[in-house]
Amino acid sequence: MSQPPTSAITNVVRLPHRIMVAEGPRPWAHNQPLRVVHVGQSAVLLEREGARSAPELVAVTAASRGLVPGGCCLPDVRDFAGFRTAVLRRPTVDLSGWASLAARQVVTVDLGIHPRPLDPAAVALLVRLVGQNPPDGVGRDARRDGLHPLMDPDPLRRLAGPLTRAALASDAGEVQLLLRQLIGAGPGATPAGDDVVIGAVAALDAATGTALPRARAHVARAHLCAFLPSLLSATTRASRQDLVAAVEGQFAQHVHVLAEALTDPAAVPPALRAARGWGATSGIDVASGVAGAAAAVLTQHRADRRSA
Amino acid sequence: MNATEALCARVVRRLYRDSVALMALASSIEKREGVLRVGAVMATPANLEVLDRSGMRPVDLVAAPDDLLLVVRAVDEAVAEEALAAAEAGLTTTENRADRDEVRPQTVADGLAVGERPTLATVSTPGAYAPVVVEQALRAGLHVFCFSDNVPVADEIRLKRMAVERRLLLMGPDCGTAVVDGVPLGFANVASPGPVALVAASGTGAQEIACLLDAAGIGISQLVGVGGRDLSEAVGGLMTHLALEMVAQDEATDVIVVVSKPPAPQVADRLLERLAGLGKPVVACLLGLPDSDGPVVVRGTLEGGAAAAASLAGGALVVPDEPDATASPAPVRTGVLGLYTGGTLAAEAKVVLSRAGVAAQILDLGDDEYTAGRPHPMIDPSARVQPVLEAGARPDVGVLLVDLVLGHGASADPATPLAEAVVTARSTAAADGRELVVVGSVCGTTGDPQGIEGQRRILAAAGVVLHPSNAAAARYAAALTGARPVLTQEAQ
Repeated sequence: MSQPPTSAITNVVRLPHRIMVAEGPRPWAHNQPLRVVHVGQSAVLLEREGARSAPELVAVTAASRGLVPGGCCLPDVRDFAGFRTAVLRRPTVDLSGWASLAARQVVTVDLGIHPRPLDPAAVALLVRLVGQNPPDGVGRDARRDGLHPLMDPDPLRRLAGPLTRAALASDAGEVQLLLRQLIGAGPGATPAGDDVVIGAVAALDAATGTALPRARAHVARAHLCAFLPSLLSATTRASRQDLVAAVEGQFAQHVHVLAEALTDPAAVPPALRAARGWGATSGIDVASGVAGAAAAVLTQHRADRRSA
Repeated sequence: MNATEALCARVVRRLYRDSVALMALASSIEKREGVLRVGAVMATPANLEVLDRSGMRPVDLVAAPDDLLLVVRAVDEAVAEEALAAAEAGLTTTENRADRDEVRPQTVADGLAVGERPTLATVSTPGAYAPVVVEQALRAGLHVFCFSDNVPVADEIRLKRMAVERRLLLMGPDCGTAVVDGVPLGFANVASPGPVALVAASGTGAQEIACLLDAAGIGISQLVGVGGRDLSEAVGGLMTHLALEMVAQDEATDVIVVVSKPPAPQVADRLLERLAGLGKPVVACLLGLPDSDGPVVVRGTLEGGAAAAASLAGGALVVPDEPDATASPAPVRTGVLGLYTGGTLAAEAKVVLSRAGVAAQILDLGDDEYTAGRPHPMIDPSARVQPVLEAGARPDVGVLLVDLVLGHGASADPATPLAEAVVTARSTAAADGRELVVVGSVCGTTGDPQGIEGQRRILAAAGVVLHPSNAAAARYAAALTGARPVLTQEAQ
């Protein structure tokens, strides 16, 4: 078995066998060291210093986490383990050596969520399971421990439906009000409210042209996304990047799993099980956004059919 | 509100923590005497607004969304400030954890409830509790890496039979090292991926071979530890046989190495018979056995095993015997003392010196005899300082043999305390008109977190004559006594 060659620049971070990236500029194209911000079990967060137009953060993820916008995923478990180990005690890392990877080793992934038929049974199941105070237990534990309400994400999760209904009704004032409540709200590095919004936008994209007429979906999406740019400064850097990507129609692969679950009840439990592993509460926060928005879309769909 | 009640805050600039970590921190601080309310949040406008509504937003607060905000309301300012200090320390503790995990389960049930389905559990409880936890993990369908020692052998046999029935690996008890699908467990070096799988009943033995293969540009596919007793007559190699089956089926594995001190004779016969029928080239590295090249290549040293594996994998392990530091090559006619932190490395040194006809005193300072009530010397290298200092004062010791083991789990800087002790010991000997030659090797790779080149430089600067392998260091020590070194076939 041949050995993967070693990066000539870092001499530590070996070339992976395969990389998944989204369409657009490669994360390693900027030929400058990236600062290591966070090393987790399934993701390493890097920061590109001095970047202005390109994304500020680059998430190098394992297969279990999947590709996220602006990042790259190392699907081979050994590649990610090796990379993670290599960066553990390093302040910076240089990925420019990855530019020498052969084209066949770089897999480009479409991170756009494309329209699909929503199954009412799947949506109802997702809403029910997400609403059953899911086993991540954060809200329940926060209440049990008498902690500050700020620590409880459940009230934020419940805003996905009202937000989507307001967008579908073209109620710009209500959309803006709800977005102000959601963006940046929640204790962690990726606030729960942001994840809820991302989930809601993803559900709208999934329903475009299927449960929702294309034009109506575009208008609702435009309402949601119109205010987001002005609210980006109200949240954390890590979350800001995901919100920008959502506005541009790009979603992390794990959001795709939830969108796919909207089409088949059998896909809902495994999708939720997987979601519980994404960050501390992020997976369930996004799932709540997807579920609440999809339910609102279907309600609207039924109302439209009745009135027709 | 009580007149003395106080609201105090601290802003930690650009610090990321997940919500569960912050909730746990807040919950813990809120239980302190006199603390009324705690907030630990990113300082986003939405969060500040909620704090404001509940009277928890300090006046004149300057913070940005990427800053972490700690707020404490307490019965008085002193209590609030103490709580804030504790909270900040809690954040720092989290920061200092090497990997800053998103989730760190503490029980098998926790682990099963978190994330996508796990496949392996690490058990590191006191030995008395380990069998229960291992059984839970096996019943849950998990492979197990059991670091715990002092597990009764009857439990080991029972649990290994259970594991074999389920075709699950039970690495250990008392398993020091493994690298499974690229994931390091216990004491493990950062070796590059490659075609050689190791099945090991000896921890530092496997580490030495993995490091030598890494240095030779070969790398490893898997390193499965089985625990030091697996090839005993009582356990009968239960896990060794299962691990061999698994690595034989592993597509990334072209060559297999079994590493152990010499097993019980009956177990050895069965093992060699099994190895001959695996269908892949195999090296049996059984310390102290004579080298032979039958259907199964047998080598009696770690270096010999690594060299044979490298050769079978289409590469070459070249171990020059010249030291990479200058030292007096003049033979010294006094005795050899080995002060080792790695048990199998000590055993290999004994084999090499014995083959050269040199009587030596080789001590494994990681043995239970020396570690009762204290950390293993690979974790706490200061445990070797006193024996090294004493060696300097011994007229019967002319050559001191040492090892230095790097990798995950090992001390962050094992070289410095050893180097300082070596300098003092050599000075003591010199003041007495003697020369103490200190010879050693570093078991590590360029990927190890300690930085192998820096560790080597520290030792070399202290006058340690460094060799690229433990066997080469032992051969050099033998040569210093005037004995003729015996090289393994491939390493010549």
